[in-house]
Amino acid sequence: MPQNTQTTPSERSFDAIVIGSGISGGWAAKELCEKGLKTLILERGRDVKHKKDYPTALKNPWDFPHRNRISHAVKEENPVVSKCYAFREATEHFFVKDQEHPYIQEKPFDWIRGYQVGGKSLLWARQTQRWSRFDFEGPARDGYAVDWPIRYGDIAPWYSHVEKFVGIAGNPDGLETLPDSEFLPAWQMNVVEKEMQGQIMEAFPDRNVIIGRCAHLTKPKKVHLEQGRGQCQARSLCERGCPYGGYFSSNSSTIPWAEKTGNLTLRPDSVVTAIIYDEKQEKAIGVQVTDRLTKEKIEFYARIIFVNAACVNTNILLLNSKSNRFPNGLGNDNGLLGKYVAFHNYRGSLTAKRKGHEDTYYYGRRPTAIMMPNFRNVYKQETDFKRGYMTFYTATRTSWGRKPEGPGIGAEFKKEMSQPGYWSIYMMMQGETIPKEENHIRLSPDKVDDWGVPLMIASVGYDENDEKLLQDFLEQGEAMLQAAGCYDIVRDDNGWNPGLDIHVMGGVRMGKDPETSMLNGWSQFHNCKNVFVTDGAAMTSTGVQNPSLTFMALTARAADYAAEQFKKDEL
Amino acid sequence: MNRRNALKALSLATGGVLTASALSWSGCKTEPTVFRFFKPEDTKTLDQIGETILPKTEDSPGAGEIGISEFMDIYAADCLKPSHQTALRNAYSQFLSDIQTQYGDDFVALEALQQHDILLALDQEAVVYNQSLAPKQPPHFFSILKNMVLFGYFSSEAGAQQALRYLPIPGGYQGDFPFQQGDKAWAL
Repeated sequence: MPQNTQTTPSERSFDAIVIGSGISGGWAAKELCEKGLKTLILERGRDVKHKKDYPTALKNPWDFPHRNRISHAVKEENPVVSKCYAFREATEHFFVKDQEHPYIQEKPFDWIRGYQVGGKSLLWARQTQRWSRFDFEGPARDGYAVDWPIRYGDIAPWYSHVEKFVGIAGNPDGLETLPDSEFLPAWQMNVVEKEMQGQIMEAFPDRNVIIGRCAHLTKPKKVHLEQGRGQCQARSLCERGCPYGGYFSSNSSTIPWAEKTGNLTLRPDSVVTAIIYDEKQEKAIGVQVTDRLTKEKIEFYARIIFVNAACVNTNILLLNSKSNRFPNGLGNDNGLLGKYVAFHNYRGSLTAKRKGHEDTYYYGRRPTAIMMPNFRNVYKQETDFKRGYMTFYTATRTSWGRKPEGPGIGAEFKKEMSQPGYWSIYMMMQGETIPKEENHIRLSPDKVDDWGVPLMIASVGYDENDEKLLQDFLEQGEAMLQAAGCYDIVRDDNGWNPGLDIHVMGGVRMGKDPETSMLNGWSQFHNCKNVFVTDGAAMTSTGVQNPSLTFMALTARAADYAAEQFKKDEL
Repeated sequence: MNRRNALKALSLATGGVLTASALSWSGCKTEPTVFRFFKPEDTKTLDQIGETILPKTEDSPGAGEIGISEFMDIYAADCLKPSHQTALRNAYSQFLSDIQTQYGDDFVALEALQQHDILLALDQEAVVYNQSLAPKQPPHFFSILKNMVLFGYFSSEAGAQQALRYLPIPGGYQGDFPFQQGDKAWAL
């Protein structure tokens, strides 16, 4: 369709607008299109077509001038994004460079972004665990944030709905703390990981050790083949984009699926600067867009708006959506918009060595790790900190980077370095953080970005609870590694800034009460019913799980509700 | 023992024999490379350092043989921190002139055994030196060189495919895979 201001308002009108094409926006579009709604996705970045726009996907290490490392000049120019583990020579074109979209760090905050069709769904870590009832009940039981307006039972069918389509590899472990998904065959543990599993569970009977769960097609089903996706090849080059469609992304899955309905319009290079609120109709009627390239301003209209811009940008957009009715940002009667931002605490890790099994190896590159569901404060408060953490570990054999046994040069040295070395263990945490009012995002009063939107000010930090939880992980991690026969155990606090976890959540939280929350149990504004927020911004608390699966399930659930209301003319 | 003394000791130990050794490997680059960090005349020296650290063996070429100097220059110019660049530049030219002083000839002109002994002494010196680094202090220059050789070689086409086992498309994962002593590591 024509995409400029020459078009008439009716040509720029849709049933629904989805802002953002990342992991949740893709789901909103798929569900709405399938239910017959003419849907427009507005994506601020460039288009990225599955396969065609993955320029590095099939390259070998020696095809890169710096063998996939980042040059010093790029690091200097990008002190923030170059900290991200996935930012490499092979993937840097999918990340926002620091200078492309500046922001203000009132407290140190690493804002990692992917502005393109597919967003960060191209780059995500692809680990997918359901929340348990303990996670949804946590805030009410422990007295923080506000009570979730939903419980595990409300979302469980929607987990199933998205899991079948996404494809989740995992083992049905039957755990209350990490409910089973609709699983494809699980990845294997290697011999050492398996032996450690037995040792840890024997020494700590209340703890569980399972193979990781991830959005990779170990054995594609019909619905995956219909998406044009195939079996994961265990290459572990995922963040370049997968030409096999082995892992789930908007690009490989939800967007082409939505396009097949004939109901989708996708407009890249469209920076949504504000949602338009109509005082007479008492609802949102559309959005203002600035074209990323031409800077042309243009409006699009719809009866339903889904905000899926990714947590921080969703907060910015809503804060910038000012009207007479909402002078402090859309829906912001209670002044809580942008507040109670939380994230995941990834600061702790341990490394260790382990003897034995020098005659065993593994084949291929598995895209997941060993997982341990949270074992802290699950059934009742037991520690001097709130909530808990998930633990991950892997066992791999060292390669040429290790210290040699003998001389460090020559033919013998080369032979030694060509062979795998001792087993090396890596263990890390993913800790819940407690949403607090002072942890917030707000807009700069005087500085704007290239598209006329005020710059974001980040004021998000750790607290004493986070420090205690970190220390507990390091202590428990060491105890578990000792029980698992490891030695030379080294603890590390990487000192990561908030944001580098790329699990930023909150600011537009769900809740029961309009006085203390922004969204209701359908992810819908209490006071602006035709606007839905279903990305990380809507999260009332963070849980300990990788969050994307829950964002997808909440999105599908909200889209189903929205389409139903749309058809009843309630929206 | 500092580097000067180490080189002097080596010089005495090997009897100060200064024989021009023919390069034991073939295929060194004939076309001049445009260098940005090192000097064009460093090509042979860097390749010979690479070959001495990771020599040709029965299953795979040596690092010099594949022209590791080219990667070392790109990496040193683009990826090393300025402090490491400075440390490397200074210590490397000192190394070249020390060799001249001690042996009266270029590194590449020495016999392979001498080259090996010189670099082995530097490697041992580097291990000790690196044990007491101040924060942010660059490591011993030989460690920087050696790391570039190792990384460049094992990520090269020949290094990944011949010295290691390269699996671009494994097709799946097996957690218990047979391993015999001597089997090579995966390249990725």
